[in-house]
Amino acid sequence: MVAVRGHGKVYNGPCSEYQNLFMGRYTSVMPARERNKAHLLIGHRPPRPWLSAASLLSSTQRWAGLFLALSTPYFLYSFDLSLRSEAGFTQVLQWVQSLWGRLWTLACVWAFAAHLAAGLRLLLGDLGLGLDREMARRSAWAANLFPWFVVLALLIGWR
Amino acid sequence: MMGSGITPWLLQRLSSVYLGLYGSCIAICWMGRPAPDHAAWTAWVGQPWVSLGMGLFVLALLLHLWVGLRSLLMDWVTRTAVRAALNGLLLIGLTGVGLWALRTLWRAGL
Amino acid sequence: MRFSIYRYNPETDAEPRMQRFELESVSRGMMLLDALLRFKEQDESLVFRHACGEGHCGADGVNVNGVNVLACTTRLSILREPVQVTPLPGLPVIRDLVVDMEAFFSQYRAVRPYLIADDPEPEVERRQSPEQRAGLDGSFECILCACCTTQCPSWQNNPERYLGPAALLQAWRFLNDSRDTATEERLNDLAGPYALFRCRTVMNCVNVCPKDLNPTEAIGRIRRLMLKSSL
Repeated sequence: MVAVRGHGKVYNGPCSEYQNLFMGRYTSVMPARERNKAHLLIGHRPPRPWLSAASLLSSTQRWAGLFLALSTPYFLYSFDLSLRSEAGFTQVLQWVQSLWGRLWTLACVWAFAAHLAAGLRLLLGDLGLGLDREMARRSAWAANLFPWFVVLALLIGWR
Repeated sequence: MMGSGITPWLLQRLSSVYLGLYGSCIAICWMGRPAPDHAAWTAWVGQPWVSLGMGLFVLALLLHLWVGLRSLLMDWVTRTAVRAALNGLLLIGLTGVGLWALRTLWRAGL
Repeated sequence: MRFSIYRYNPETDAEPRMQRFELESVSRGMMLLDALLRFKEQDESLVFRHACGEGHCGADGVNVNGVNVLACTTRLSILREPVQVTPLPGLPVIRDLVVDMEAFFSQYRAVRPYLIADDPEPEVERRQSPEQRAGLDGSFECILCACCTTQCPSWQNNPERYLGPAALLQAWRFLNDSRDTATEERLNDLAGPYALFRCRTVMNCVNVCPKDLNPTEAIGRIRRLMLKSSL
């Protein structure tokens, strides 16, 4: 076989983390729910395999971080307005306590909690903790669920 | 020596610790309390530990935003010229946000 | 058992296509490589790499239902039908399941995967204590099949500048070798925002490695070593 360099097409397979793969060891027998879920052929691309918990977490962290970054001016504006005058303060308070304001706050809290949990896991990883395959899988699931618990707690608190 | 790789990485990790701790502290501090009125709110922000902490928070936030958005650009924007332009815009935007926050905190009694 | 296999000959085909294959009888313990060899009997034009057939040489890395595996150590019984077999993602296709590994190996070469020892040569040999030798466990076993690197989203984003898990694991293997004296130069090679620091700990590499190695941990150790030496 002669290598024809630069002649062949680059095969663009699963490329970003949210398309990537599922969990567990592939070369051992695994329970059915952990197997590859999607198997529809889309063009010449491989199917999108079931996400691994860690890859889902990684993209959640990135998107949540982007969301928080883009809403920084909003936070700053509200903070500024609330300090400036009595009227501004009431305006911010009314917005925060309105239905849409609450939903928005909920979204921000979710994003912060998700980004925080994933970041905490990364910091532990930097210290060399929880990097083996099984621990990483479990901690990724825990970090994936964390923001939902926080939001649930907040909702219960509001009632 | 190994500037452009390890420094941002370290800044990201260090700022994340402060952001996480201070952010969680503020959140827990206000949890379950009724909404304040304007006077109480300005008085609370005017306390030195709050406003100084917030100043540091803004600094850490700007560093964290810079590292995070920079790596996002490195991953998603492949054209060097476009990426350089976006990085420039990012720096301008972050400086603007920083100055704005400084003015706000200054007025509040930093 | 139904298979759908990527076929592409750049010299004659305008576009790649998926070809269907059927396997009549699947015996116990049969591996994906056995199936591919059967299909080659049916259709001689099917091309794939394979050599040792027992997971030691790393020649037959392919992407199966989206996940990189070695064909020779993947049991057919765990695969979901129709089994889609495609080449390793992100590398140029030479033909069918055969990819051009040059980009991958040039990154391997870039970390200088050999011992650099500038101290005077000893009388007999460069000795290591059993503990020092044990420190290399988990990094020298890599067979360079490219399963990890081509499954890494960060490498997919920056295939030219991010070295990828396989090369970085080898970088750590020599950084961690008690006999190697080029630690500083090696760390300097890895400096900069791309070569090492594009790792985002997605851990796809750990999930797919057919030898159960842990490049993510090695990358973390390199970062810590770099931090220590730059402080």
